[in-house]
Order: sequence, then structure tokens, then C-alpha cells
Amino acid sequence: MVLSLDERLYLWINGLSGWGPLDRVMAFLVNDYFVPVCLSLVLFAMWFSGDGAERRRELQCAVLRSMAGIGIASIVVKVSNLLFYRARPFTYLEANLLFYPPHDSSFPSNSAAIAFAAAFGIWLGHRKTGMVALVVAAMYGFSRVYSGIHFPLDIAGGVAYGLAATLAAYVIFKALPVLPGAVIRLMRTLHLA
Amino acid sequence: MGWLKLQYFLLVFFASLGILQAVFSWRKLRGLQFFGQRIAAYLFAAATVIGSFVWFYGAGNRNTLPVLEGSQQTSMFMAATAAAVVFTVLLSSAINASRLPRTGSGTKCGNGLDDLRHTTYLRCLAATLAKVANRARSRERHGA
Repeated sequence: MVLSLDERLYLWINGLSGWGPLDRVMAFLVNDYFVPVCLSLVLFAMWFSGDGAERRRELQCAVLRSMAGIGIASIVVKVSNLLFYRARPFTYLEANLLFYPPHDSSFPSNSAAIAFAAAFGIWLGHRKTGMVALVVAAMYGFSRVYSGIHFPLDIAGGVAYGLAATLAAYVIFKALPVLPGAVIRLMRTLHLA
Repeated sequence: MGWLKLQYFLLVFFASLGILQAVFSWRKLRGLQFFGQRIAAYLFAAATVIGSFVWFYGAGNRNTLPVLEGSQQTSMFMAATAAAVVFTVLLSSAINASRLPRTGSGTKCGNGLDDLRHTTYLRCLAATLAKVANRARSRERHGA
């Protein structure tokens, strides 16, 4: 069988698995909860952070934008899955699986799209925290290939979808500042912003 | 599946409690703090965040089915963080009722979270609701 570059890269990365300690780290990173919960908790913390009302408002706008970006990324991935299906790598390639075998479309990686939409949103609000979030999202994406459930191109697609969703949210919020403004005003009245 | 939802809810609830105490202590929002000392707040945050993750991952293999779908995770996350906020404002208001003095002629509030540097959440909410009620009464009087 002639393999594409994507398939060869997948086999090489998945082939790194088999060493106990690294497998345990990757198995921890790859699950559906750890990275999404951590990134979401960062957004939650960002809402209440900010030194002074003005900086807090900037961060709260970044949080709302990030949430919108995550929503847009989710919808776009769902629509993409209706139009295009790619089989998971373990269905026809030799794979060492560290995760349960999902059977929805491999491309794009929904998990990578959501994680990078959150991470780019955090980066727009706070550069240093955002850099850490992007590194965590990248490790999450890598772990999905290492664990055998995605091709590298699926992760790259997820990154692109996440970035596009973040930019779309940025443009929408810039065009309609009344949207985040109304939410923040309501939360301020309740002394939660 | 119901048990997994509850475990996820508890993970996010306790982790959020810790995160909130760390942020409120860092930003000196005394009305929302459980602890007077910053170190105590940070230790509480570390214990709740690390403890909840250790408990969650110790309670089962999270890389097998069944799993929570994205929409389920989103709704459970929102519910758990909202519950953590409600729990925090109620408990901190009770703890700080005697610790933080009332201001002279009633509590003056109107600056969102910044008001909670010097008063409790429930006092501020009461002041805000009183202001809204006064405005409504005054509009009625002028309308009549």
C-alpha cells in the first residue's frame, strides 16, 4: 500500500508509543476531560481577574469572545462532518491505541478545534497565559495522534478551524460591541463583573 | 452515565471553588474571601483543584466508554461553575458579615466587583435592589 505523508507521519508518531511512562502521560492528556476542563477553568478565572474595572472589562470581553469562538468551532466541525468523512487511522492502519476507538469523521479533530479556539481566545486577552494555553492545546493535539485516534492533518485542520472561529468571533464582537456590553452590564449589576 | 455526570459536576464545582478563592484573594476582593490570609486561600485553591482532579481520575478509567459528549460537558460545566459562584457568595457573605464593617449610612454600591473589596456580596445586592426599587417608586410618583 502506498502511504501518504500524513499516514507515514501518523505511523511514526504512534510508533513512539509503547514506553510505559510516556504512554501514561499521553493517556492522561488525551482524555476528553483534562485539557478542556483546564482551559475552561482558565477562562473562568480570567472573568474575575483584571486589576481595575477597565482591565477586567477587557478580560471579560476576551472570555465572551472565546466562548463564542468555541461555539462557532463546534458548529463548523459538525457541518464539516456532514459534508466530508475521513476514516479513523486505526480502521485500516496498524495502530497502538491508548484510547477508546471513536468512529465519527477523523478530519477535522473536534477536540483540537475546541482546544485551540479556547487557547487563541485566551491569548487575545492575556498573551502570557495564552502562550501556555496554546502549548497545552498543542500537547493535547499531539497526544491524539500518539494515542492512535487522529492523523496529524486532522489536528492541523482542527488548529485552522479553531483559529478561524476565534477570528470570526473577534470580527462579530468588533462589529456588534453591544453584545458583550449587555452581558457585562447585567453581570456588573449583579456584582459579578 | 448519571454517575459520570455527577462526578464531572463535582470535579468542576470543587476546582472552581478553589480558583475563585485564589483570584479573590489575589485581587483583594475581601467580601468574597473565605480566608483572611492570602496563603490560606492559595493552599485551599491548591487542595481543591488538585484534590478534585486526583479524585476524578482515581474514580475510574476516563479513556473508555461511556464518555460525556461536548454539549453535556458544556452544560455541566456551566451548571457547576454557577453553583460554585452561588455557594461562594453565600458562604463569604456569612463569614464576612461581622468581619467587614457596614459603611455609615447604609452600603453604597454601584461599581460591580470593586464594591466587594469593602463589603459583602449580599449587602451589596440588597443595596442595589433597594436602589432599583426606589427608582421604580420615583418613576411611578412622577408618572402619577
